[in-house]
Amino acid sequence: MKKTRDKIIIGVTVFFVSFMMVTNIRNTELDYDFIRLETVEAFNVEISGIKKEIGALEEHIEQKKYQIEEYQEAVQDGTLEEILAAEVQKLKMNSHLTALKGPGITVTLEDSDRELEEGEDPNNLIIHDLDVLNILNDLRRAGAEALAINGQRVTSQTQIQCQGATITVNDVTYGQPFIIEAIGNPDTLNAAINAPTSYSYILREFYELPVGSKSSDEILINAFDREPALNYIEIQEGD
Amino acid sequence: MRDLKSKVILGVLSMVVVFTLSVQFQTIRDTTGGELLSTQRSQALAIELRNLQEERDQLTNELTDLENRLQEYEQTDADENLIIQNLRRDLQRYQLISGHVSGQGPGIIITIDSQGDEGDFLLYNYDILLALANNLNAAGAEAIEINGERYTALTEIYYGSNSIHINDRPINPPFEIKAVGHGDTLEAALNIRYGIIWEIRQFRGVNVEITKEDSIFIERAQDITEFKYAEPVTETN
Repeated sequence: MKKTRDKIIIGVTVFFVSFMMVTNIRNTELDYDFIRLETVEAFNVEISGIKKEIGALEEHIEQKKYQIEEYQEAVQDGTLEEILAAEVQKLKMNSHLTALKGPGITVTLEDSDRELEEGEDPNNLIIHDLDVLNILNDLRRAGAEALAINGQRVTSQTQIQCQGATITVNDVTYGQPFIIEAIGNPDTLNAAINAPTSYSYILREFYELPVGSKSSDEILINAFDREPALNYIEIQEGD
Repeated sequence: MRDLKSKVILGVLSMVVVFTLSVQFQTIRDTTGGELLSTQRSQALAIELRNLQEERDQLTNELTDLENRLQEYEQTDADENLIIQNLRRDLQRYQLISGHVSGQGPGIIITIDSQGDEGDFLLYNYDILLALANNLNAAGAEAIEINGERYTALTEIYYGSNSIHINDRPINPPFEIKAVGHGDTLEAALNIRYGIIWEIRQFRGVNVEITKEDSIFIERAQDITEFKYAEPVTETN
């Protein structure tokens, strides 16, 4: 009798324990295939990307609405010409066909004249295309509004080529030192050339190439001095 | 006595087991913020993403409508005086040069599939894209677009959060680079021995395809530069 009663008690206790366990597990959602952290990360990156797009779109929409209003008024007032002229001016600036001035930075680059270490690649002593391209990229990241190399305006069609002691920009060749100018916030531009995270830092500290920089209150950058090539491309409105 | 003792022990042990388990599950709940990294969470994210995409598409449509209306004001009208006609023509030309209108023309499309065993090669070597754009321009490219982003004079490329960012927006592999210009020249320039494409094919096993096309559509640039530091040089200053 006693033995059976004990067994029943044990059985009931075990039942309750199992019941509690199952209930607890249920409450924390057994539906888990563990998702890799990378997938969640990928989602977050996309989501933040789209949010930025939405932000930009909203800005554009505001701008266009404003422009339409202006045009409507202008047509009534008869000042369409002025509005168009202002718009033309703005886009001309964005086309890098206008000479600009403002605060910014001047960067100078030269090949190194130090001695080669034993077994060192002589390429380490000279400036390469990618060096200039990376420095331009760093300056753009820091908000540069206009860029020039040895006086040549950088446009979307600009190409550079470093050949030993010379650099060819927009098909014009210059000797050393290579001088890169940028208009923008002098402090952020300065950081783009001198911070430990910058490309120039590596050139200076690791390869010991002379990279100099100087902030300025007034940098003058020429307009691109030729007609941009438009022989193959034409306007095509998208959807 | 012995019987009672064993039952008490059993009872206490069971309670300890139940208690420990409850605490355990509670801890898991707390550390993962109420949800495990479960399919539920990723579903929620997928829904959010879809909603945002819909919003984005709606806004894009609205923008297109506004642009069409704007075009009516900007398009040339034969009756108008010559000054305005010239202004309109200049407007179009600068829109094209600055990249603020989409365009089309013959050229090439480069597709780079850089996903390898050690992750995506191009992500960690994004300056290859800088060199590519440079080479394309050297071969006479008139407009370049990378994964929907127009390449302009102020386009910046950097790596962050497991993505490449162009014009401050994330893009992901595979990479498709379009360039409008003389197709044969562009193709030849890219396929040159010891060039960038040659190098990444040879040494990195990256798959690169270059195709010539008669008509390639190039997206317009999404951002118009606001000049906060630069101002035009006029005769008086």
